[in-house]
Order: sequence, then C-alpha cells, then structure tokens
Amino acid sequence: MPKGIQKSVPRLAIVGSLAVLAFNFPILSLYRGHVMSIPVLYIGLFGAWLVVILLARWAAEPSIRHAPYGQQRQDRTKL
Amino acid sequence: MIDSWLVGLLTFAYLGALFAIARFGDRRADTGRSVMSATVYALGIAVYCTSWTFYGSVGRATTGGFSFLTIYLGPTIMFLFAVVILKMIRISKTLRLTSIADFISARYGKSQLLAGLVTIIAVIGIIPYIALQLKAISYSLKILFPDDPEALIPDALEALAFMPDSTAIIAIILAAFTIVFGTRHLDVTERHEGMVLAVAFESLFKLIAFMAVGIYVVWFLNDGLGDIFARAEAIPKISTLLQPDSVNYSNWFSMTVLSGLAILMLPRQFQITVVENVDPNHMRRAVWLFPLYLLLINLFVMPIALAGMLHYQGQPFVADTLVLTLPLAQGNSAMALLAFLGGLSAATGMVIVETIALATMVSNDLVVPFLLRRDSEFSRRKDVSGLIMLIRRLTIVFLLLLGYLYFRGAGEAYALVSIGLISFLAVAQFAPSLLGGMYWKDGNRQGALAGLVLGFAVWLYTALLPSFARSGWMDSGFITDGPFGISLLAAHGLLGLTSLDPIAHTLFWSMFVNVGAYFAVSIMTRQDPGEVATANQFVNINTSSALTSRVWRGTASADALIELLKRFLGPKQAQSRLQRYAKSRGLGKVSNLEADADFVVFSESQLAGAIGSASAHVMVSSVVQEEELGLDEVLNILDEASQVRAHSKELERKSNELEAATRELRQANEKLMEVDRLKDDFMSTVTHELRTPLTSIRAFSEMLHDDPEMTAEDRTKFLGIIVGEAERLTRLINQILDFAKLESGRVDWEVERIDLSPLLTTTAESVGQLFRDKGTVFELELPEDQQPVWVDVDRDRLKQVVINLLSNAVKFVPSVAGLIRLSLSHDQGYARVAVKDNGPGIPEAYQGIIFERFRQGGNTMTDKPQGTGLGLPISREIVEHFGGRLWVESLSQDEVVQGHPGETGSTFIFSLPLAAADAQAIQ
Repeated sequence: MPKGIQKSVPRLAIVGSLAVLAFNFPILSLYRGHVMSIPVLYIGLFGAWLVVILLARWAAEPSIRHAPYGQQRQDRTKL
Repeated sequence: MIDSWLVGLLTFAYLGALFAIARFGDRRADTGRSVMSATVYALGIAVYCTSWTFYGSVGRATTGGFSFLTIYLGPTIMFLFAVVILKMIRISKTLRLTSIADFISARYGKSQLLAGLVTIIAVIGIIPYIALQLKAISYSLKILFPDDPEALIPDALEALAFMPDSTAIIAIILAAFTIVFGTRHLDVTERHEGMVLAVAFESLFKLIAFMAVGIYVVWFLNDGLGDIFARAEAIPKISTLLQPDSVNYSNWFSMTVLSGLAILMLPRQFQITVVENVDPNHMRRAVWLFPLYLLLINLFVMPIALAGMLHYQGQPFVADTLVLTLPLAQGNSAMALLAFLGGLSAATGMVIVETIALATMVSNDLVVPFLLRRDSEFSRRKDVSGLIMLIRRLTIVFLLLLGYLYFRGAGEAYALVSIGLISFLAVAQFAPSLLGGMYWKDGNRQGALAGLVLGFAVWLYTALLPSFARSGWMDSGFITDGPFGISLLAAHGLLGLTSLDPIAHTLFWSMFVNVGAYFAVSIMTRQDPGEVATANQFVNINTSSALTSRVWRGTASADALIELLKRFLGPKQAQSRLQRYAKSRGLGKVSNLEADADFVVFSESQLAGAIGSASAHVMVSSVVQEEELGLDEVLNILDEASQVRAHSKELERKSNELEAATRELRQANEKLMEVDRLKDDFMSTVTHELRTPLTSIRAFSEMLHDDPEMTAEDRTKFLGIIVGEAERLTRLINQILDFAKLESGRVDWEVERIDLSPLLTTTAESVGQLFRDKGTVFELELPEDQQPVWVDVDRDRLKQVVINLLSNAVKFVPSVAGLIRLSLSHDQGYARVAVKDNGPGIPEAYQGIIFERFRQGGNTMTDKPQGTGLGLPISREIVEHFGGRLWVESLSQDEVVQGHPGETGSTFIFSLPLAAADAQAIQ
C-alpha cells in the first residue's frame, strides 16, 4: 500500500467510528424538534454528514490546499 | 407540451456526447496522457447513484421519511474504513483479478465452481436491476409524452414491424457503447479510461440536474426550505415523517449495514473502485469526495418529496416521478428536460458499468470454462483471443437483452420497483466469503460454498419469491402465512420474526445462515494444499507478494506455456508481454525463458487477466505437470517463508547493531591515536625541555673542569649559572610530576573551607621579593565590604595557582614602571581572582595555546623560553578541579596600535564557586 494513504487509514477509521455513532440510535433519536421551522432531523443528519466529510478530507488529504497546481498535474501524468 | 423532436435530439446528443467523451479519454490514455485523476475516480464511484436514486429516493421519502438516507450513509461509513477497499485493490492488482467472482474464487483455491456460483447469484440479482434502469428511461418518456410514449420514433418508422420501442433503441446504443469502450482490451485488468471518464461525466451531469430541479422546486415553486417544511408541519401525516420517532432504529441500522456492504459487493462498484483504480492514492480523494457527492444529491430529496405531497394534496400521484412531474405541472419544459436527461444519465451510467462487470464474470466464469470443457473445437484452435473477445461482446448484448426482456415482462410489477434493495441483498451474500477470506486464513472453499448457497437460498425465498408473488405471478400466501400454512416458515417472518421490515428480515436471516455456515463449515473441514497458499497470500497481501512461486512445484515446458499465452492473448499481445517479462528477469530473449515456477506463475497471472483466475489455473495446469504438494509441505513452505522473513529481520537488526558498534570502535580508535600522538609530543617536548638546562650545566661544568686556571670571579659566575639551571631542572621535573599526577587523577586533594582574602595576602607576601627584585609596583585589591569570601579548595594547590600567575606576570612586566594588580571580587555565586599586568599583552592567536602543555606565547624556536610551559596548564587543571574556570583577557601591542583604547597588558582571571551559604553561616 502506498505510504500516503496508509498514514491516513487509522485517522479515517476513527472518523468512520464517529460516523457510525452519529448516524444511528441513540444519537439519531436526539434530532427532534425544529429550528426556524426546519426539522432538526434534517439539519442534524446533513450537518453531521458534512462534519464527517470535512474530517475525512482533513484526515486523507491534509495538504490539498497547499499543493501547487503544477505539482498535482505532475502526479496525474505520472500514473 | 414538449416537442418530441427536441427530446429526441437532446437524448441522442447526450448519448453522442458520451461516445465523444469516452473516445477522448481513450485517445488520451493511448498517448500516455491519462485522464484518470483522483476526482474522475471519485466521480466514477458515484455510478452507485442510479435512476433508482434519481427518481426513487423522492418516492421513498414520501413514505419512509428520512430512511432513504441510509442507502447513502452506509457507503459513506464504508469509505471511511478505507483499509478494506485498499486491501481489495492491493490483492486484485497483485493477482490481476478482474471481477468479484474472480476475487472470491481466487481466494478459495481458484475454484471454478465458486466463480460460477458467484456469477449466477450476481446475474440473478442484478439483471432485474438493469431492467429497472431501462424501465426508468421508458417511464420518464411516458411522463413526457403521456399520449404517445413512442414519440421519439417518427410515425413513419413506427409502422415498421421490426421497429423496437425507444427504450430498446437506447439499450442498443448502450450495448454499442459498452462494446466499444468496455471491451477494448482482452485483458480486463487493462483499464477502460474512456468509459470511466464518460461515467464520471454522467455522475456530474445527474448531480447538476438533480440539484437544479431541487433548487427550482424549493426556491422558485416555493419560498425556500423554511416555507416547505413549515407547510408540511401543518399536515400531521407528513409532519410525523420529519421526526426521529418515525424511524425504526433496527431497520435503519440494517439498511446502513446493507448499503455499506453493497458499495463493496456490487459488481459495478467493484469494477470502478477496484479494477479501474489506477493509483490507490486516489482513494484519498474518494474517501471524502464520494460522500460529499452523496450528500449533495440527497440534499433536496426531502424538500422535493414534501413539495410534491403538498402540491398534490389529496389527489393521487406517483411519488417516484415527482422530479419530472413537478416541473412539468408548472409548464417548465426546460427543467423537465434537464430532469429527464439527468435520469437518463443515472440509468445509462449504471447499465454501462454493470454490464461490463457482469459480462466479464459471465464470459470468464461461465462461458469460457464451459467451452474449455465441452467444445473440442474451441480447445483445438490456435488463437482463441479473438473468440474470447467475441464471447465477451456477445455476453454484453445478451445481458442487455435479458434486462430488456425482464423489463418488458415485468412491466409495472412490484418485482421491478422493489428490486434496488433486493439486488443489494443478493450481492451482500458475497460479503462473508469475501471479507472473511481477506482477514481469516482458515476460511475455506467448502465454507464459502455453504455460506453462499444457504444465504442465496434464504434470499430467494424471503426476498425474490415474495416480490414475484406481490407482482401476482404466484400465490402470495407463503409470505405472511407460510407455505402450507406453516407460519414459522412465512417468508417475511421466519421462525416468527415479524418485527423487522422485509429487507431487514432477509438481511438478518441470510447473513445469519451465510456467516454461520461459512465459519462452521470452515472450521469443520480442511483446506486443500493449493488453497492454503492463496489464503495466506490474501490475508498477508502486504508481506507475501512473492510467495506463490514458492508453493509451486512440477515440470513444464516453456514452449507449451508460450503457446498457451499466444493462444489466449493473441500472438502479438503475448509476444510483447513475454518480451517485457524476459527483460525483467534479465534474459534478453523470450527463447531464453525457462519453465521455472516463476514463469508458470507469470503465465497464469497473464491468463487470469483475460479469462479469469479459475480458468487460467485450469489452462496452465493442462500444459504443466504440477506435482501435488501435500498439505504439510505447503504449510512447511509457508512456515519457512515466514521464518525466513523473521530471520532476515533479525539479520537486519544485527547488522545495524554491528554497524553501530563499528562506528563506536572507530571513534574510540581515533581518540586513542590522538592521545598517543599527544603522548609522543609530550615526551619529545619534555626531553627537549630537560636537555636545555642539562646542556648548559654540562657545558659550564666542562669549562670548570677543563680550565683549572679560571679566575675565581668566573668560577663563581659559572657555578651560579649551574646552580640556577639545576634549580630550573628541579622545578621542571617537579612540575612534570605534578602535571602527570593531575592528569592521571592521582592527586590527594585536601579540600578545606578557606577565606580567599587572607590567602591572597599571604601568597602575595611570599612572592614579594620577586616584585622588589624587578622594581615592580604591586597592588592588592580586596572586596570593600571586608566580608570573608569562602571557597572549598585545597589551600596549597590554590596558592600554587596564585604564585604561578604572579610569577608569570612578573616575567612579562616592563622593567621600568612595571605594575601588577591582584584583585578579588565575588558575584553570582563565584569568587573572582584577577592578576593584571601592564606587560606587552598576548596576541589573540596565542591566547588559546598558552594553556596547552609546553606552549608559550611567542616563537619558542627563537626566543629564550621563560619558564617551563607547564605552569598555566597545571593552574587550569587545579582551578577546573574545584569547579572554576581560568582564562585570560589581553590587549596586545598590535591591537593597541590598531586603535584599541587603553593600555596593553594581560589579565589572568580565575573564578571559583563560593561555598554554600548555609555552610557559611555555620563557619
């Protein structure tokens, strides 16, 4: 396995475990009521989902914003 | 009303665009400029979202509330546990595996039976799913043209007897696309970059289309999310859907598990995620981009569903097509067209990839093995590569035809609508043997077979048959009441388990028997030797990639193997690969290749890419005489291999240690040599220093001896010189002895607590004669506060230091107006004694070396040495012994000339730590 992703695997698994908790009972049962007439269930599920995605991005591609464009191109053509 | 020609034009323009994009991707790949970036890869994985997502999610949301989200939360979670997918990719790349059937069969001793079984389950489970996509296309056309669903086909052509309906035309185009871009290479492990690029484009398109419809419905047809939710809240039947109380948590959990398994096990997902993966590092993007895609495509599902329910309040409506009907009801044909094309893209993407994946499985694991066994003409042919390609292409057509026929046959039946999850359940049956095989070495073929067969049987009985029954194709009594009225066998309530919904029910029971049988049978039966090796390789893929050739033994002929490769890969393809292989092994020509184990394994893996690992194994076995290894032997080899690994690790560790030891030894040796050199220097200097006074003593003694008539005056003078030189000699020897003692640490220090002020005073008095002889002015400065300055030192030694410094100073002060100042001060825990003279000073270059043995300031070769050259080194040793420091600050004549202010002269300073304060008080 390549080094790059290998390093993120444990961090991703932690995020995954958080996701299992956030998307199932009993946390799921807490998303009740409304905020400005929008159901908390809608906000909670999509909000938690977005948080999980951001965490995953941070875990898997921490340097994505700093990678210069030219370097990314190079990575692609190398394949 | 939308013009049919416009819809037709857009439909075919869209499909044309797919061809163009795929062609572009393949062109780029052929010229070595691959388009496969991490983003394209992640978008390709979004082929997961089919028309069942595009249309069906809204439908599910109208009845099940937020439970439709579980279909997307499962994959999100599964992608976060990327380690599983990465291992699948790694194994497939190493063994050149091309499908999920290949994967499972390769793990369990390349069993053709297992490969065939997996293929059959996949086909039965997936064909209805393909049919569902076709139905979605047909149905969306029916929504656009309620009066004439075949409006795309000009009336003149429609009259022709052989004219198929528009769905069939689209299916034919898809078959053509799949054949052109999905079977470019015989070797499936060669990637289909054009196809993946087209699928990625489709993913992007369906996302944009769906979000556009969502934004249109939420902000143009309604007043935003708040408005829709607020109005929905007013209707009790709808408002309950929006609260967690409507969620059945066990169903929710089961669906999450099911979809999480499906994202790994669906043939199309395996194709894109594993087979088409060019770089495992692309997973870094996919782990968050694919979940983000899922989030975005689901963001507006609930709002659209609510808007639909509010719009058609009280009237009957089809929830599954709200994405289309809502814009149509407002007369917004542009939006409806976009939605239609989005649905089309969702359907076609799925059909293309799923067909390729299934066709690989069917041709490699069902047709080719069948032909190899039965058809003697097939096995006699010289070059079957073209034939295999043809078989795969025909399989594609056959599979699409099957899907189409199922769609025509099932029509509006329930069997079609519910097939999405039923397909998921079917492929989930692969999970125990696939995941178990990746992580559990002892799982074996019998266990996998038992698990698959039993799980599949439960699926047939509790999922597929009930869906047939609901379609009215058979009596539905067995679903709730059980066959022959045996309620314990009811298809939706096995053993009375009725609290779960049908999908969760099937998942539970099928997994129960599947996992149970897999483990139980694996434990009770033994692996055969061939299986042990592959099992080991799967589980330890990261460490044992080169192991397979070790567990092969037998005799083979290189020619036969080469012949075999040419037959199945085509002569040209085979030749180029053999050449590459020969080069990699350091053999110039293909003819130099020997039929050793490595070559046999190479041949088999090359064949595996084309005809699957099970068939490849059979074919290779047919031309080589493999010696069947006993189980013990295989275990020994594996054991040996792991021992070798352990040994090599041990060796590596030892060699590292040795290297470190060698480095240390070398350093020690260098130090020793340096010390030895210093000792030699020391010896030669000492002898030189001893010889100088000896020489003068001898010279003057000889003169006295030889010349008896010498005047008494001269005699006295010479004797004075002799005495002086003898004294110098004694002093020198004393100092050398002193120094040697200090160096070797054999000095008996008599440490006591003393006050520095009286010590300095008495010492200065004892050398007072020296000052008077030279006419030097001596000043003593003691601290003004008259407080004692306590230090812990050896009194005599310290006196020696002070005398040394004073007598040194006397030597260098000018004979006229010489001035020496001895001062004592203390601060910051240190006592400070300074001896300042107004001599010529010491140039900076010499300030370091005067503290070295036998070194003196100035040129010792020309100037007459003044002293032994040991005084300062000894003094420094003594001061440092008591934790102090001795150094010099000097301003030489040169420096004064160069413009530095002040007078010339040197100041030798030493500091000593003050005795502890509390001890001071006691004294």
